[in-house]
Amino acid sequence: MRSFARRFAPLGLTLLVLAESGCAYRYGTFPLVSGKLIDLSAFDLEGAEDRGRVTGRVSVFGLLFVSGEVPTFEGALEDALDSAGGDVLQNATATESLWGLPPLLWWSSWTVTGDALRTRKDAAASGRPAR
Amino acid sequence: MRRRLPIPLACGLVAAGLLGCSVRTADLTVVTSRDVAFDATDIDGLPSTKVVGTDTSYSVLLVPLGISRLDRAVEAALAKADADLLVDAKVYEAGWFLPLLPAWKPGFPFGVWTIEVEGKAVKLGRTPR
Repeated sequence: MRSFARRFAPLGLTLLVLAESGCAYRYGTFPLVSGKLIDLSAFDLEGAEDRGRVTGRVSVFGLLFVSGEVPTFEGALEDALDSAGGDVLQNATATESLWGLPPLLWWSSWTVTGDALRTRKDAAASGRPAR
Repeated sequence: MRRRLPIPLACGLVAAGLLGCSVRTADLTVVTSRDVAFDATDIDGLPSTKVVGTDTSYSVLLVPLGISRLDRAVEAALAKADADLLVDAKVYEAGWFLPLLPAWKPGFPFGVWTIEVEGKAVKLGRTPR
């Protein structure tokens, strides 16, 4: 029994390493994107306040079929805008990554990077879209 | 003599092998894939058209032949109305996977993954930046 395990342990380990895969891909690039409540009746990017380049990220770690809340593009977008107090993201890039061997052991994340702008003048810019 | 599977049983096996789901993944106030200028625009006052755009990719024998992207789905929706911006966009992702077809002998594992975006397309009537 021990010789069987010794013989096939390297093969099993090799297969596990090969199966332990990962990927990251670009979900999209957007000159303009927002999930926040914004005033569409007077939409003015030229007069908007520049909040700088920001990155938003949501991720989850999973083990044996169990994980936290599944990350989404919208969550990463919201994280990016909230981190800068903006309501619109310009020149945004979204990337999704998945590493590991689901459903045994894995790590999944969304990343959104872009230039945050604040178009609204009031404090309600951080609210969710009412539409 | 070869035995044949009864048709209802075969249909049941195929249906059981057809796995899929569709989820709404994002609600976006505005989104565009086009580089346009926005300065003091009354977007609410502009005419809009409801459009749907999709981007689909396939996988064969568990090997992906492409990647579905949201910006391509947005571009497809905008192209339908020759518009610049999608307002109140809802993003759905749908996929299904056919592990074995037919179920009683080796087949071709085949998968489809679609990103769909629907929203109101608005044309700003300006020249691109």
